[in-house]
This record gives sequence, C-alpha cells and structure tokens, in this order.
Amino acid sequence: MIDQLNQLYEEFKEKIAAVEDMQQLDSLKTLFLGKKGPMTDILKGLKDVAPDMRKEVGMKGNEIKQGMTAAIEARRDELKQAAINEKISNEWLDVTLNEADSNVGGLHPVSVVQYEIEDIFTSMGFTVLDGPHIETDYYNFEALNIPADHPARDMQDTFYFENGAILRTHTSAIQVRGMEKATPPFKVIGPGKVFRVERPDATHEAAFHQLEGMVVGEDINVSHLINTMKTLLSEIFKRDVDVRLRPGFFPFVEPGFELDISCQLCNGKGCSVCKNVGWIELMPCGMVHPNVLKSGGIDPEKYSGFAFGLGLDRLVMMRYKIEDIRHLHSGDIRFSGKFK
Amino acid sequence: MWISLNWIKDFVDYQDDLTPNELGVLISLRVAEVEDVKICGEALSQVRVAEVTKTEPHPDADKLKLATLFDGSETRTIVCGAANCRPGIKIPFADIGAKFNYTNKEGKPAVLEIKPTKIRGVESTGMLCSQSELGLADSSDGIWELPADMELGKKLSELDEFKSVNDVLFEIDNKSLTHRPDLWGHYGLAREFSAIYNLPLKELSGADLNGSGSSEFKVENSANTCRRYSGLEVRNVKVGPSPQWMQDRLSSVGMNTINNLVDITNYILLELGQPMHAFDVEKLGNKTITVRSGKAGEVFKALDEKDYELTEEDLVIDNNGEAVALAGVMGGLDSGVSDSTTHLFLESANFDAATVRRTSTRCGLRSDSSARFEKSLDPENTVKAIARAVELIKETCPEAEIVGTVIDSYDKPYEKLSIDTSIEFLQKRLGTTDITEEFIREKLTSLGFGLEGNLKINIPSWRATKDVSIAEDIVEEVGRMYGYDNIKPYSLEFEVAPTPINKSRSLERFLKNQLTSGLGFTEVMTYPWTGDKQLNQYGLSSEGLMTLKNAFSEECKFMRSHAMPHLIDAIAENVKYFESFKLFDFGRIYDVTQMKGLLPTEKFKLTGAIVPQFKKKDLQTDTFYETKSVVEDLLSSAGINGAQVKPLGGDLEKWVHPGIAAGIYRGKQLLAEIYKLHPAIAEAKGIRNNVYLFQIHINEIEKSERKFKYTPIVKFPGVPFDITVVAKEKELAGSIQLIIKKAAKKNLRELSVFSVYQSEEMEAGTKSVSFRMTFGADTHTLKPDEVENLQSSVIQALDKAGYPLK
Ligand SMILES: [Zn+2]
Repeated sequence: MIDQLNQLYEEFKEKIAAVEDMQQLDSLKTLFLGKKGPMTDILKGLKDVAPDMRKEVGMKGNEIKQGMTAAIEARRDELKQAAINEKISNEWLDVTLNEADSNVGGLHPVSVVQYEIEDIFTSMGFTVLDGPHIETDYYNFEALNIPADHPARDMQDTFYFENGAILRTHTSAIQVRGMEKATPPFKVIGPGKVFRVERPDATHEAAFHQLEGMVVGEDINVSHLINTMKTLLSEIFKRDVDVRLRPGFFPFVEPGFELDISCQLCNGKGCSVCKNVGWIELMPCGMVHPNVLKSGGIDPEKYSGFAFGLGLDRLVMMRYKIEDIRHLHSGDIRFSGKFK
Repeated sequence: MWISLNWIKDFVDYQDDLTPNELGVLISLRVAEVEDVKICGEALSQVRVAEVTKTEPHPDADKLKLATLFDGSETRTIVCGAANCRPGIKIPFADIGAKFNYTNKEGKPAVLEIKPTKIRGVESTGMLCSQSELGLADSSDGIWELPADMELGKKLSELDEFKSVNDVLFEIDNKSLTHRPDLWGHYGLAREFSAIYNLPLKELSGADLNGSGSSEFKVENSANTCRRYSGLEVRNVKVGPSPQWMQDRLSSVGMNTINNLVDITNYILLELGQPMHAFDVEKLGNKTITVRSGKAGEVFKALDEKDYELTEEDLVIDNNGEAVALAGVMGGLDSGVSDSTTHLFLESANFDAATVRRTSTRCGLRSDSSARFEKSLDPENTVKAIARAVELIKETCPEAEIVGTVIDSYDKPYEKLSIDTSIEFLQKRLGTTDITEEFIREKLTSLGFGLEGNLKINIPSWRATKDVSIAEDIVEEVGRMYGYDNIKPYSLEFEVAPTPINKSRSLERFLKNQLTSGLGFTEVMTYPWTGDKQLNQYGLSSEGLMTLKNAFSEECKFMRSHAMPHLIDAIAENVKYFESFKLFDFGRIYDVTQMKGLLPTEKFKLTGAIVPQFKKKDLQTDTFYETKSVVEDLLSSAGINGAQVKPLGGDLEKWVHPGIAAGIYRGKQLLAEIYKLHPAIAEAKGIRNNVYLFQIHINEIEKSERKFKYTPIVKFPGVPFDITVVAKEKELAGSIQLIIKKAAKKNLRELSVFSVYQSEEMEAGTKSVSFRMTFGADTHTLKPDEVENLQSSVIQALDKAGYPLK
C-alpha cells in the first residue's frame, strides 16, 4: 500500500510539473485529491490494512496528501505571479503624452490673491464688507475728511459722472458705509475695484483693485497697527516680514503713514528692486482721523482705530511677476487660469 | 521738489553725521518721503589742480598729444586728445587710482576709474578732465581750463570756488507735503533738521524796511479771500544777471535763472516758501493796488502770453481798473519786470488756498506759486519775505532805495490755535511709554510749538493754517520725531464677536469655485464701462446710462447696464487662440432704472459660456444641454430648488438666439438664462463656433429662499414604468413632465425623457416623446394594485391634456 502511495506521488509530481495554467491545476487537484480521486480511494481502504500497519500507512497517506496540497498551492502562487508579471510587461504607457484635456479651469489671479487675503483676515476676526463702485462725493471724499478744494483731491484723478456721482477712487469709500452699520469694537475689510482717470499702459490702469481694512475699538494705538500689519503681511507673504512706518499724508488718517516692508528679494540687504535700501513701499495706513469716525457715527472721544489700504494688483503682479497690468482686465483666458 | 543740503546748512550747523543716502532715509522716516538723493561735485575730491608745462605730438596718432604736467611736486606725462590742451593752462588732473561716478557721452551714469594705460604705445598715467566728466556740465568742449590763480596740487573740492558745487540734493515727494505749507521752502526743512538734531535754528535775515520819504502806493483789500497783502516800493534797481552763487543754487534745485529781480523772488519762494511778485511801477496806471474778485467775462492777459477768461470766483490784483495779476497764480503780461525795469512794487501776500486752487485748476495754470498758496500758507511770512528780498536786491543793486516803508493790509489775522492734551494721551495713542515727557517737550519746542502746563500746546503760525488743529496732529509730531520705526509692536487685545459671514460674497466664491475647480471654467474680468460702438453692435441704447464727464476714451464713456456684451467680446478674442473653451465673468451692471439718489442699483451678474470646437452644419445641441445642466447644478448646489426651465420670455436682446433660449424661473422670477449666441452677432464678431451662453442673476438668487434639501435614501424598491405619447412638434417635454408629476404626486421618484422621435409614418407636425419614471413609496413596497392605479392616473391625465399614448 505504501508503494502504491509512493507511485501515486511520483505520478503527481510528474503531472504537476507539466501544469501551465489554473484550469489544468484545478483539474489536477480534482484528479488526485477529489472525492472520487485515488487518494480518497486509498485512504478509504485504510480500514482493510492490517492494524499494525494502519498507523504507518495512515501517516504516509496524510504526508503525501499534504505534500500534494502544498505543491498545488505553491504552483498556484507561481502561476498567479507569472500572470501578473506578464500583465506588467505587456501594460505600458507613454506617460509623457497628453491625450485628454484637463477639465480644470482657473480663477482670475486677482480672485486667487484676494480670496487668500480675505481668508487670512477672516481667520483674524475681520468681517468682509462691500460697497458700490459708483459713489457719492460724500462717501468717497467729504466723509473721509477731504473737503472740496482740498489739494489732496489731486492725489486721485477722479472719474465724474454728469449727475455729480463719481467712480470710487479708493476702497476707503467703504469705511464710512461700514461704520454707519457697525458698533465698536470691530474689524472690517473691504476689497474691490477702484477707478482713476488714467489711460491704461503697462503699469497704469483705470480700473484696479484695493483692499481696505479698518479696526476700531477703545485705546487702539500705533503699536497695535504695527503689530497687526506685521502679522498680516507675514501671513500674506508666507514668511516673516519686517514692517516700517514713515510719515505719510492721507487726510482720512492722523497720524498717517507709509508702510514699508523688508525687501522680499534681498531680505533687507539691498538690491536693485529696493534701490539698495532694503525696504519697499507697500501701503498707506494710519490712525483713523476723528472726523472720519464722526462721519461714521462713532464717538472719537471714546474710540480710536486704524485703517490701511492694500493694492491688490500690485501684490498680484509681484507674486506672479506679471509684466503688463492691462492683462488683468483683458478677458484673455491665456492669462487667467494659470494661477494657483 | 529738490532740496539742497547746502541751503539747509545756511540755517542749521548740520555736521554731516550721516552719508547722503542715510540722511535721505532719515528724512523719509522723520519728515517726508525722499524719492531720490543726488550727490553733486563728488568727483571734485578726486581731481587736483595741475599745469600743462609742455605738449608734443603723439608719435603714432595725429589727433593725440603728449602733455607734460606739473602738480606742484611731481612731473608726469599723459596722453590727451583735447584740442585746447596747451602749455600754460591749469587743468583738473585725475591721478592713477582716482575713481568717481560720471555721465558718459550717451548720457548714462558710469564709473570712471583711472588706471595706468598705454595709448597707441605710449604710457599714460592719469587723465585731464572736462567739466562734463566731473558732473558740472551737461556737455563740454575740451578739457576744463581752471583760473590761473589756483593753487597747484590742491583738490578741487578744497577750493572755496567750488564749495557750492559740493552739495547733496534730495528730491522730496510733493504729495507727502500736501499738509505741510511750511515745508515748501528750505527754511522749513531746516527747522526739521534742528528738531531732529537738537541744533539751533538761525533766524532768517532781512533788510531794514524803513526807507526814505513815503510811498504813494495804496492797497485796497476788501476781498475775504485775501488774508494779508504786503507791498513795498523800491527805486533805482537795475536788471542784470544774478550773482553766480544764486544762479548755481537756483539751477541746482531745478529753477531756471532769468534775471536778478525775478531770480530773487524765486529764491525766496524756494527758501521761505512765500511766493512774491514784482510789478514794474512804470507800467502801472496809478499807485493803487486793489485786491478784488474777478468779473464774469473779464479777460486776463497772463505772463505766458495767453488770455484767460475770469469768473467771479477768481481773485485778481487790480490796478487802474485792470487785472494785473491773477492772485497767487500768475502775473500779468504787461506789468511785470523787463530788462528796462528800474522801479518796483514788490507784492507779498497771503491768498486763500481754495480760491487759488479753484482758479489754477480751472485755468489749467499750475505754477510754483499756486502749488504753495493752495497748501494754506503762513500769513506771518509776507513781511519777512519782503525784508529778505530787499536784502538780496541790495546785494545785486547796491543803489536800490526803499520808498517809504511796507504797506501792510492785514486786518484778518490768523486765528491763534492751541490744543489741550496730555503727555498720557500722546503716549497712549502711540502705544508706548518709552517716549518720555522730556523728549516730547524738547521736540515740540524745537518744532516751534509753545508749551504751557500739562499740556496746552500753542500752534506756531506756520503750522496753524490747516496742518495742526487737533491732539492727533501732535501725536504725529511726537511719533515721527521719535521714529515710528522705534515703536514696538503690540498685539490687539480686544475681543470681537464671531465674524458674521458676508453671505453674498460667500455665494460669489462658492459659485466661482464650482465653476473653476469642478466644471473646468476659466474666470475672466472685464471692464465695467461701455461706449457707443459696443452699444450699437449689441443693439443697446446709451439713453439714461450713467455717463462719465471725463472719460479718457469714447469706449469707456458709460457704465454698462448689461454684462453679456463684454463676455461675448472676450469670447471673440479667445476664439483666435483656442478651439474650445469655457469661461465666465462675475461682474456688476449699473441699473439706472432703479436709482437711489444719484446712484444706480449695482447688480451682480454671472455670465459664462461653453464654446465647443467648430463643426460645420452641426448645432451641437448637446452643448446647450451641457450648459443648461451646469446652470441647474450651480443653482441647486446653491440651494435653489423647485425652479423650472421654460423658454425665455419677454423681449430678447439682440445677442440671444430666439429659437434656443431658456429661462430658469421660480414663479415669475427669472433666476438664470441659457441661450445660443445669435448667429448675426456671431457673424459680426467673427465667431464660427456654436456658442452657448448663460447668465445667472445673482441678486435674484440672493432674494430667493435657499434651502439645502436632503432626500433620504430609499428603503423600498421602486417600480419602473415607461410611456410614449404623441405631441405636437414644438410642444415642450417639460410641460408634459409637469402633467406626469401632478398625476403621480409623491409616489413619483424619478422622471426623465429618454427619447424624442419623429418619422414619416407619423402625422405631419407631430413627434413621439418617451418618458421613463420610477414609482415608489417611503413606507412600503408598492403593491401591484397601487402601481396599476398610478399608471392609469398618469395615462388618463396625459390623455386628458391632449397627449394620447402612442
Ligand atoms: Zn532688495
């Protein structure tokens, strides 16, 4: 009986070596180990074996059965691996080709930068305000402490409408409308388009974008302004930024400042961009003039605040190194959709 | 405005503690923005006086000479090409190692460094310089021949003759001086220096103004807009060139030199910031000066030889019934100083800022004088200016005589201002107690403020006209003197309530993000204005539109009342470069039919388009449906539910294809439009593609109730049911769907059109429409009889509405 078993095992080994696919392997398994296969038959005959031999034959039979099962599973793994290897060697793609159009569009670069900055401000507790493009002289000038015939009106070449309305020349026009509705303390920003009479060329535009900011509360002071600007600008430029204030004149603030930032190209060491001074003029800001607070219905004896105006187009042009500001309103999709 | 450091040093003993560039930065940080720093005469310290002792021809070059030089101690030979190089002349000599900036022949800045060289085989050890090479002239002919008495070997910069050439010039941004009338002259800036460096400020000198006899001049000043009018008659003057030092100084800061008398008035303008005017007495009709308003229609002949028509708003200086000057703006053509002038009436006045500004703006006459008056000048300066002028006149015309004394009409003195504040307030507003009381008192005093007690501040006349009036202005004075750059940042401590979200801005961002990242659209921005040309192309009228008075071009004269023409124009540009694309613009229109006072209602419009690849004879209707589903998806994701698509009603704009135009309505409210670009506009714009446009009326969406609906996942299986009905050719599938919806009520889970078919076998003018629906209930699986009931009620309803089963 043991010989019979050994012979069967030899036969199995011969056949399994010739197996080439899963199907053959499965039939081989059925052939040898199936319910109607020889192993079953042999092991069923165990009861006829002499009792002293039964143990030995039984062990042998099990050993061979296990050997066969193991060989089949090993072969199965081999075949699987071979099939995968074959797939890998057959499946190849020139990954450098572009066969499909991307379905990703893009925001306008001004939107990209504006939203990013809005998010920074809102995370710091600022509310986003809006105002009309077409404004009254009151909100754009008078309420901001720029009366008629004030020489400061020269700073801004204003578009006038036949009916006396104007196109807002700065987002500061949003300030007073905002204050009228707010109760201190508050922090607001007002991003948007502003307009100046300027024939467009590579560096000038008649329509451009600013972001106005204002913080009003009790005892707001210059050192708060410096700190807020430093924090914000470090967020905006995604690196530590030093800020420096210089005297600057804007009728709606007192004192008024020009804010410089450390040159981002040379880290303040001096280069051609910053004309070797290490600083770049970035934005006007200042402590809100008491008259402006009054225009907004806020008591200047009780509250103080600061305000600032950021030129968004300038930031966009700095970030993306855009050579011509007129691209911004060109409607050309070759220009938009390229900015992330 | 250019400021000369030498001029400032006339009034303060500034000791050149800083390099010119450092000083420029300091002025920017403490006073006003310095835009440029120019160092003059830098090269003079690099050259020495030498004498040419001998010249010989160069052995190898006809145009070159070999010059032998003696500089007082050494002799050397150099090669020189200048025609005027000859024995006996003294010249500036740059030795080996000399290095300086200069302007080269092309007018560009360059660095000149002297090294030993061989020129055509002959060793040359230095260079003889021309005036232009030393930065003293724009161009020069040959080398500079120095006066014969100059000491050999001396550096030019050490010689008294060239002291005035050695200067530093600062260009100050005029805008940053808008509020500082006192800084429109050197004396004011010198005061700033004295405050920064704690140096004494010297008094401005001036002649004694008591002359002989008495003047017949009379000033009648009844105008409210002339606070003060001071004048002085001066005889025996002689017109000629100004002294060299004055010419040098004026030209160094960019002022043209004309003659001694005109130059003196300009000099005082630049020194004290007080404009003056000199009348030639011989050319005046009489000796009465009247300050009065202009008369409507009156014509004034100005110095620039042009005629200006005056109004009653203008202020004029009248003599003998005629306007002889436009106050503060410009003198008259016939009464000013000429070469033959011997007898002067000097005017030094204080005119109202707004009046001068209005006149100069209206006439387009911006002069150095008007630029100063419009800043509200110090009325205390008028007589000081005259005294200084007489001092300078005496220097150039020693025979000049004052007639009588100053005639001074000053019955409207300036209001003396004082501010009550405290050291604590100043420290609190600046956010630091590092600024000591001592510092505050010292700096304010140097700036001319009078201090009393704790703390009353008296404003000096030169700051009181407009500049300083409230405590915050004093905060500025202290802050800038301390240096804002020295204030330590401190974080805000107050708490604000959670930020309310700006809903309309978040809707804008949401829609833009959906379009760009989900749907592949590109955002563009277009201008808010329009012009007749565009309006005509799109069949629009300019009537009633907001109209700009000062547009720089005809194409930006009006504010747009429609956004789509701008998008179509952008498409017309983009089809030149792309076969297919999707774009959108989120912009405003200015609705003049709903005016709020002077202002139109600004409405937000989201306009967009899908432009598929050009195909001949193919409507590409699938793109219409794609566009429609983009809009429907946008609306439903923005919370707009229950809207219906209907053919777009009302009068269609010229750019809308009348046969392919849908509106998305909620009741009668139009939320959005989807349509094909009208072929006529496409043709006119050179667009071959089938362009499908959409417009979402953002304000309507904001007005609409927005609900975000959750449909529970169904638990019980649905039962499908297909049905085909016959309808007239132009019937809308959407209307038939409404009938099905009504009939099946809440048991209708899904409904769609899966086929629209026309064939010859069917009655002409009809089509068959096939719907697929799913019935189901939330609470149980529908029983067969329930399904049958639903089916028959749908069929009956359709039949009743005139849509028989096919
Ligand atoms: Zn730099």
